Amino acid sequence: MIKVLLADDHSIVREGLRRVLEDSNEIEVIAEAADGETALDKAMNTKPDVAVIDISMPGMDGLEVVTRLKSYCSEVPVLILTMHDEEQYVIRAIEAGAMGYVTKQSAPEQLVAAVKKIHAGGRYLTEKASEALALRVIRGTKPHTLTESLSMRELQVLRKLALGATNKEIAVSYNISVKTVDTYRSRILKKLNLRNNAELSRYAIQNKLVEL
Amino acid sequence: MRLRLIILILSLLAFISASAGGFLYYHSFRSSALEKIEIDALSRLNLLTDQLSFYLSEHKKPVKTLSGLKELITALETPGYASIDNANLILDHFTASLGLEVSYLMDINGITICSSNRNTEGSFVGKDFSFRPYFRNAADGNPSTYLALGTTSRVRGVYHSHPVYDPSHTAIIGVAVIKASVEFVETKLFKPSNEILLFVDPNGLIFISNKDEFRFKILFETAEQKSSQILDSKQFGDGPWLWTGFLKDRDGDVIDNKKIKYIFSSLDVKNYPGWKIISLRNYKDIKKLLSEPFFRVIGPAVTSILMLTGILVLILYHLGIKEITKRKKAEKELRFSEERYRGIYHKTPVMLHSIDIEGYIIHVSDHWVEVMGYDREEVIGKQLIGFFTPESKKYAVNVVFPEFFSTGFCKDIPYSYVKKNGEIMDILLSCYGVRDENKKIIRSLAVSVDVTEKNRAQKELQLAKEKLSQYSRDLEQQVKKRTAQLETTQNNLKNLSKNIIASQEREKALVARELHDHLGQVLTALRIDAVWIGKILSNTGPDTRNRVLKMCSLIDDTINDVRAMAYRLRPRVLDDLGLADALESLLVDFEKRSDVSCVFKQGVIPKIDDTLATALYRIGQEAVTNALRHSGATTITVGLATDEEGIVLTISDNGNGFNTLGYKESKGFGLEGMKERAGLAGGKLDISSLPGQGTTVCCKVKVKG
Repeated sequence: MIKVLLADDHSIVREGLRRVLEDSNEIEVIAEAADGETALDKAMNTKPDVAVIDISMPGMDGLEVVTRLKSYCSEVPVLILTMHDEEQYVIRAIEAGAMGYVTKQSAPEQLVAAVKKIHAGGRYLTEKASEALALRVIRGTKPHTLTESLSMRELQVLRKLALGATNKEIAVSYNISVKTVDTYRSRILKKLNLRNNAELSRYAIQNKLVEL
Repeated sequence: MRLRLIILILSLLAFISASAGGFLYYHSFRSSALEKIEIDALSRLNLLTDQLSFYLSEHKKPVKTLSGLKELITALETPGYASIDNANLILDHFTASLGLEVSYLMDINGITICSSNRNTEGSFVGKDFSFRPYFRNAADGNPSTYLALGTTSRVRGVYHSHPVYDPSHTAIIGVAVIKASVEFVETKLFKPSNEILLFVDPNGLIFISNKDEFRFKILFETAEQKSSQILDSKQFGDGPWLWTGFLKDRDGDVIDNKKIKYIFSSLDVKNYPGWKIISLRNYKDIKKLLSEPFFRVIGPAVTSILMLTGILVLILYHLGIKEITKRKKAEKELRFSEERYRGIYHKTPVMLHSIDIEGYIIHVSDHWVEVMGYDREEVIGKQLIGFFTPESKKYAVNVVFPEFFSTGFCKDIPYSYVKKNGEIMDILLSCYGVRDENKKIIRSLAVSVDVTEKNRAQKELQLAKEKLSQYSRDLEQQVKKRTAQLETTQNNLKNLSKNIIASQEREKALVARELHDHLGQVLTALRIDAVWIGKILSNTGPDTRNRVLKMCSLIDDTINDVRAMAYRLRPRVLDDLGLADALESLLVDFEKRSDVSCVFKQGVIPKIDDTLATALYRIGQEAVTNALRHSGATTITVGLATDEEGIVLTISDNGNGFNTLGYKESKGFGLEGMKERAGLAGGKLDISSLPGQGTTVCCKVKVKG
């Protein structure tokens, strides 16, 4: 059984989540907390295998808890649970030391898998979150004048195109029209002074925008 | 007029003295010159006499030699053809070699036996010249010289005779004669000139002269007897011998029949007793001789002196007249100006007065008495201070008078006069001292200016000014008060705006939080439950399962709506993660909803407070919204950075742009709102745009620390 600490200020949600976790029969919620301080205390006292912590809580927020937990008992991996789906939160959480990230909305489908993966020593990120993270790393570590002139969406499209995705696949994954994807593509080619998808792929690989 | 006369007399005197000087000089010059001429003439006469006697005795020796020749003796002792011939040859030889007129030999009876002119028409041979004194003297043994007119030749000559002795030298046997013409002497010594030179025999007959007309004339009138004596002597031919017309006057001068006066000089000639050399010189000629060089030399000098004098006199006269005219004009002007001055003094409508050193009034102008209300007689001779108020009197005596009499000048002394009707008149008095030739002040000339009205006006003006300044002070204070009130009101308004914005933001945040946290959580819980129920009921059939899935989808949509609503109201990311993340998420959101590429360029920024972060976020939101809505841009770039002064937020697009000058708020771009927001946050917002060149909104906020 995987011992889990569940921290969420919202009792109904906490209850729902507990049920989702325990229904798996592989996970046991050994402690619950409604705020950051309690979560920190319980984590230190009960030593769970995985701490599932809501990012927004009154008082000490989730990110703070992650940071503290890293210094007090670094052996407990943290899975961040959040109402937000902005990439910024993902990045902050990972930066703070979280090992995974799941939105509450997708919790029924993903939470158990996420806890399992983290307990196994892996990271759990949704596709979107990992992509945002990758882009942030690209931007933060490789300041490139051409790359810098691209917007977030353009970078996303660039990565997809470099990895061989079709316009239609991209359109589906970002919930935009094929025409819009084409517009992005031509804009990217113009900004980076490239001629076709082959050159685009080469550029992305050379600049470590994608990993093969 | 008198000056003119004086100048005239002076110039006349100058002329007379110049003329007298000239005359005296001329006179003395003339007498000395005459004396000199006299002496010159005498010495010339002396020389002439000497020369004449030399010429006349030139042939004394040759005749002696001739008389001693044996051929002549032989011809006398033994007259014969041969001896006479020999003697003639000798005579010829003598005559030729000495240039004589003739030489001849006479026997003891005076008959010529040989002659150098024996072959000529007037031959002397055979002629008897025993009547001639030269023969008689020689026959007596005395060689002699004789001047006479030849009886045969009618030629004047000098006859030299010498006795011829027999060989034993005891008896005189004949006489040898040489006759030389006097023509030579005459041409040589009696040269033609203005001076009349005469060689006169003892009877007064002129024998030689440099004037042809006087030859063989009697110089001075003589008795008839003398004339016959001359005739008898046969010395000078037969006559008649006319009178020259000369007369001797009492002074010893000579006058001719034309009344011309001559200077007479006379000298005896040696060896010719009674013969005289006489010089007659025309007075006029001498005078001319004297005055000519004198006038030639002195004349121009005298003339120029006289002319100069004349010119000088003229100039002086002219200058004198000019001076007189000028002085007369000046006098006239002076008189006129005096009259005018007097007129001005009395008639000018100014208060003028003069006092003497004792302080008594000498003069006052008409205006003075008129203004003061007195008659002139009541004022003249009175003490000036008698018209002063007691204070002015004291001031005048103690301060002004002593100072005035030492400096001779004073200006704008404030006095008060008392008029005859008792009114007090304020004046300003200025005066200066009139001095005599010893520079001593003898009286004053003063002008008084009535300043009563002026003083009153000034006082009133002063009062009015004070009142005015009081008013203006009051007004200023009121303005200050009002300004302070306005400022307070403005500050209040500003604070109110701030508060409104803040409370708005608070409200929004509250609502957003409620929506997101509460409703969102509930919905989330609901979804979890719905999914759970769906699992439990999964065996009951596809219908239930579909319903559950539908329910889940509905809840998902609602969650998304709620989240979007909350986000629009106020993004949690701004509060949770800060401005940079909020802006980035905003751009991602915009990009999702449009096909414009939104680029975020983030620099490092310091930690800033919520209000400022909110303001900048809202400005960014507004600007990007504007760009999306209106610009037609394909790229929007948002930059967040810091410069030396603080945070710089820039939003630029590559859209249409617009003319910032012609911009009107009515277009609803919310630019004024952005500006106000920036201002309230303590920042400054600039919008730069040109049609076709995009728009850049730049907001700068100073951040302390």
